Order: sequence, then C-alpha cells, then structure tokens
Amino acid sequence: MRSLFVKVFLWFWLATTLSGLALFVIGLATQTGPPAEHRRRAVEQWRQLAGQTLALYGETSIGVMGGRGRTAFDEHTALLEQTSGIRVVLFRRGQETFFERETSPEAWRLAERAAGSGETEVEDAGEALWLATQVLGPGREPYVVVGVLAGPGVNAAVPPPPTSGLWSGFLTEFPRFARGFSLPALVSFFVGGLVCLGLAWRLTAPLLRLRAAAQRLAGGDLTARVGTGPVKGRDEIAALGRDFDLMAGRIEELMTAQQHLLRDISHELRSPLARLNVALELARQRFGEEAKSTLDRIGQEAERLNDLIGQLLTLTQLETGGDRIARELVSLTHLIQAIASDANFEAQTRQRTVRAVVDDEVTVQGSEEMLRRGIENVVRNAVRYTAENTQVDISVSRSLGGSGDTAIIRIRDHGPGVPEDTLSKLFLPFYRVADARDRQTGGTGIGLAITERAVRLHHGTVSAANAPDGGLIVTIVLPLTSP
Amino acid sequence: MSRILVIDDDVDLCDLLTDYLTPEGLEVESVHEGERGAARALSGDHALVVLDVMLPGISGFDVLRRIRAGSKVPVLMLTARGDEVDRIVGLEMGADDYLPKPFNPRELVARIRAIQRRVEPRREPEPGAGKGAEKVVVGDVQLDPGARVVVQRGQSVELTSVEFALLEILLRGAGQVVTREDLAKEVLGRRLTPYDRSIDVHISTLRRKLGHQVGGMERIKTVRGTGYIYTLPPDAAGQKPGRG
Repeated sequence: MRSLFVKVFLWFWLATTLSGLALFVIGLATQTGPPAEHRRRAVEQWRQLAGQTLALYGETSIGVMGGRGRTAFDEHTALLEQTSGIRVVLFRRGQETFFERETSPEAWRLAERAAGSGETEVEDAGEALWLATQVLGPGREPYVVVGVLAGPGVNAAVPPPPTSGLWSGFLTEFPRFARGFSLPALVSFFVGGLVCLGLAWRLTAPLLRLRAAAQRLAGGDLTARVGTGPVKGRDEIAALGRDFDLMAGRIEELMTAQQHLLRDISHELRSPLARLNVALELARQRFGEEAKSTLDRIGQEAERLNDLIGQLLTLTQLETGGDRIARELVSLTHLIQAIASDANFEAQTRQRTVRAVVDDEVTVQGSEEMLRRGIENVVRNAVRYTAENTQVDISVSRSLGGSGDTAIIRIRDHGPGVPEDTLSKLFLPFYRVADARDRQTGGTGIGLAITERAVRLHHGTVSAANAPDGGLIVTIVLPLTSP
Repeated sequence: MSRILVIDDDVDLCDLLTDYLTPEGLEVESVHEGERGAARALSGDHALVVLDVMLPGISGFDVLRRIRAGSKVPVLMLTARGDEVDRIVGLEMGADDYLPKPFNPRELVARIRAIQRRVEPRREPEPGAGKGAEKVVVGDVQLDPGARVVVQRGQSVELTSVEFALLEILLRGAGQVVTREDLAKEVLGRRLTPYDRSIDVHISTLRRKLGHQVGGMERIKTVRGTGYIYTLPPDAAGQKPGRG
C-alpha cells in the first residue's frame, strides 16, 4: 500500500514538472510568455517612436523641399543624418524616385510595403536598420519616407525586432530564457513536490485505513469498522468507507444471527434427546432381550446426535467466547503424547496405530483444553481415514521464523488423501469430501472446523496437504510467544 | 425407598424419569419451576435433589443458593453439555456432582447411588475395613464419620456430603499423595473425564472452609498432575494420623 502512495506522489510530481517544462518550451518556441511579451512590447514602442520621428523628419523634409527647393532639401537631410544618424529618403507614391540619392531595390520594396500596410515597417539589413513609414505632404499627397540607421552598434542600442524562425529563435533565446526561468522553475518544482506529497497522502491514507479494517474483518474481528473519523467528507473514498461499514455491519448481524440460531437449535435439541435417552432405557427395561440389537442401534444413533450437538456447542462457544479463553502455559510435548496414547488405544482395536515423535520440549501459551480438542479432532480424523495396518504419525518441532518462533505440529495419515481442490475447504463446518464414506465412518463434519477455530484463537494457522506418496498431512503452526 | 426430588421444567422428561427410576427403587417427585422446587428441597423430605440449571424464571443457580442456605441435601446438577463455567459455578456453590444433559439414565442412577452411598450413615463398620466409624484427628481438624460432623478448634464446620467424604479420605491418608483418580472413584463413584475439574473445585471449597494454612504450612497441597496431600502437622510428622 505504501507503493500506491509512492506511485501517486511520483506521478503527480512528474505531471506538474512536465507541464512546467512544456510551458517553458512552448513559451520559448512561440515567443509568448512574459519575457517574450515584454520584448515584443518594447520593440513595438520603439517602432512607433522611430516611425513618429521618421514621419516628423519626412514632413519637415517635404516642407523644406516644397518651400526652398531641392538643394535646401539635400542640405536639410545631410544635416539630419549628421545630427541624428538617420539618413532620410523620400518617395512619392505612384511616381518614380523622388529623391535619387538612394534608390536601392530594398528601399523600394520597403517603401511599397509601408505604403501598402500604412504602418511603420522595419528591416534589418545587417550593417544598417531600415525603417519606412507613410506621411502626407502639404497638399495631402502621399509620400513614403525611408530612414536608414547606419553605423556600428546600431543593433545593440536598439532591441532587434522579434524573429520568426522557430529553431533559430529557440537557439538564440534559450540561454537568456533559461536564466530567467531557472529560479521560478526550481521553486515550482519543490513546491509542486510538497503539494503532490500532501495530495498523495490524502488520497492513500483513507485507503490504508480501509485496508486495515478489511484485514481485521477478514481475520475474524466482526466488529471492525472504518469509522467516520478521518475518512469524512463526501468523496468516493469516504463513501466506500461508509459502504464498507454497512457491509461489515450486515456481516456481523448475519454471523451473530447464525451463531445464535446454531446455539439455540443445539440447546433445543437437547431436550428431546434427553427424553429419547430415558425412553430408550425404559424400553430396554421392558423389552431388553427381544429388541436388544435395535435398541442398541437407537442408543448408538442418539449418542451420535449427542456428540454432534456437543461439538456444535463447542464450535459456537469458540466463535463467540474466544476472548475469554484461558492463557496458561501448555506443554505441547505432554499434550501430544497424551493425545497420541489415547488415540493409539482406540486405534488398536481397529488394527491401526498412532505414534508421536517429539524432539524437544515445546511450550505455548493458551488454553490446554481447546488445544487438546483441536489437535485431537485432527488425530481422530487421521485414524478414521488411515488404511488398515498403517500408522498415523504425529510430530512436534520448533521452527525459528522471521516473524517469531513457532511450534509446528504435523499429523500424517496413510489414507486416500483428499482431492487437491477441496483441501482448503476441509476446515469448513459440515464440509464433506465424500458423503457416503464419511457417514459410514462416523464423522460429524465439524471436528476440523473446531480445530481451525481453536488454532485461530491461539493466533496460529492450520493447513492440509496431500503427501506425495499418499495420505493427508495436516500442519498446525502455533506461535511460541503469544502476542 | 428413597425419595428424590427432580427440578426440571421439561414435564415429559420428568414423567419418563419417574417411570424409569421407580423400578430402580427411587421414588420421584417432580417440580417444574424453581421457586417451588427450592421450597420443596428445603422441606427435608428428600434424600437427593436433581436440579436442571436451565430453568425458566429463577435459574437453577438461584435455586441451589436457596437450598444451600438452609440444607445440606445432596444436589446433582444437570448442566448444558460443554459448558464448563456452569459446572464450576455449580460445584463452587455447593452442588455435589453434575451430569451433562442429555444424559444416559443409567449414568444418572449410578451417580445417585454414589451420592447415596456416601451419605448413608455407616451404622456398622464395613467388614474388613474396621475403621469405618472411627474418628480421625489430624492437626486442628477432627472428623467423626459416624455423626458426620467435622470440628475444627472446637467449632463445627459445615460441609456438604462430597466435601465430607473428600476430607475423610484426605485425612486418612494424611501425609501421602491421594490421586485425583482415586478421589473421584471413592467420592464421586466415577472416572474423571479429561478436564473434569470437579475434584479441584471441591478441594478449593474445602481449603476455603478450613483455612488455607495450618501451622504456617499449606493445609492441602496440590501435587501437579497427580493429586493432593493433606499436610501432617510438624509435630505429628512420621506418625500415623491420631485416632480419637
């Protein structure tokens, strides 16, 4: 689950960083964005100012020429070039060159462009900067005035007009752009990171709580709820939490109802069974000899019913009263030996044996009685299924594991085993692998369920596997140090 | 013919029990409700009470408490199968023995007989035993099997029949281990099932009534996994329990 947190965080961070980077590249490439915009405005202002100055020069030049003739005009423009550094060339619209001193084709083209657009046009000719703008003469006749700014340093003094080539622009602009961009980029990278961290935590923390609750529920704690505490609000995760709580509540209700039903049925069955037992003995008193075999059979079946009810009650007791089990030190070594000798005694009447192999003293904490019931049920089951003239082996060993030391109890029979796909269902109440045979051999169907509950109450696990050479191996793992 | 009182709300079961027990020489009176059951038990008309702990109205434990407040009549409890807590609570409250229900009626008769044997005053010493009615004195405790009284430092101690029988065996074997199996056989007339705590509960009641210590030593010592020893007073160590 931590990995989801890390994933969400990294993806968000990557997304913000990438989008910042994309903005940078787009701004650089299309000359938009704050620095480019600033430059664009400066250039525009300069162009307007230059245009106005040029228009002013143009008008005075037209005035000079109209009033004092061509020589005065030449003197005037020469003076202007000397003082301001701008060489003024004047064109009359629709006519040949008005002033022949400068008639280069570039000047002509620029003049035509300015006349066409009605705006100040600029062209960078390398060593000089050309400007052209339209002015009106005294008789409203249209002129185009072209100014040439020449000389060294002219490009440095005046910001160059925005260039339009994408790649060349990118290359020329990059260092300056990167310099201006690096600090904000760094700040937004780390601030973005922090925000993403918070966001990822907000998204995944409720999931962690949900998961913890789900694990508790799966572990048998039916009262596990997500709760309304930190997972409040109206978002989908909060809704999921509420739905989980509803579901858990429903499961708890059903489980409780089921347990109560089972317990009540078992209790209620005891009364008729008690009467049946007495009636049976009465029948024995009166017709003992004639109906002995039948009465014995009735007695046997009543005893079986009795066993079933007793086990059902034990099961419900384990389900509901698990928190008040005794916590005493139990010697598994002695317990297993006692169980094995009892079981062996019973098994020998059916030509089977039970043998326990215990290497060293193993002690666990818990309820000896529950452990005995749990283990005994597995051993009884093994004796029931192991083939005639075979042996049931019980072994107890100690295992040093990463999550604490454990005691491992293995019970192995030499019977037919169990189909692989039903192994995990063996510990469900009333689960039967083979109906007919089971009834014949007298199983109640809850022995292994009791084992599972009893082992679980001791924070242990029980599992079953088929031995490679036939037979079933049931493994019970119990923690040596009780949590 | 001994009269026994059955307190159980199952009318049919009571009728069947009457049918079954009468030929066994037991006269059965049935009561189906706790209040009246307690009243009848205190009347002193019965040799033994069979009491179901699951009763409507006042519970079997309440009935037992009322009976024990005024009578030492032996009580056999019928408990829910698998409910150890019920059993221990019942035994601690002074029930003599318990039988999980549903029970085999033959087992019920055997338990009743065991209790009766214990309670019947021994008018004549049993042949071969010779010491049946002799008083036993160990330390500060004096037990008189004939009169069925226990006196400790001049004060009489109220014991139920089971406790009396247990104490008698322990005193007779004072200084030696008496196994739980022997105690169960002698006192309860049956074998102990695994995790049967009956004897232990009765012993703890005995300790409570007589005091846990005698002369700075534990009065009844537990021998783990085996049984119990009644401690001989230091001055009497090595001697046979005194006879009075």
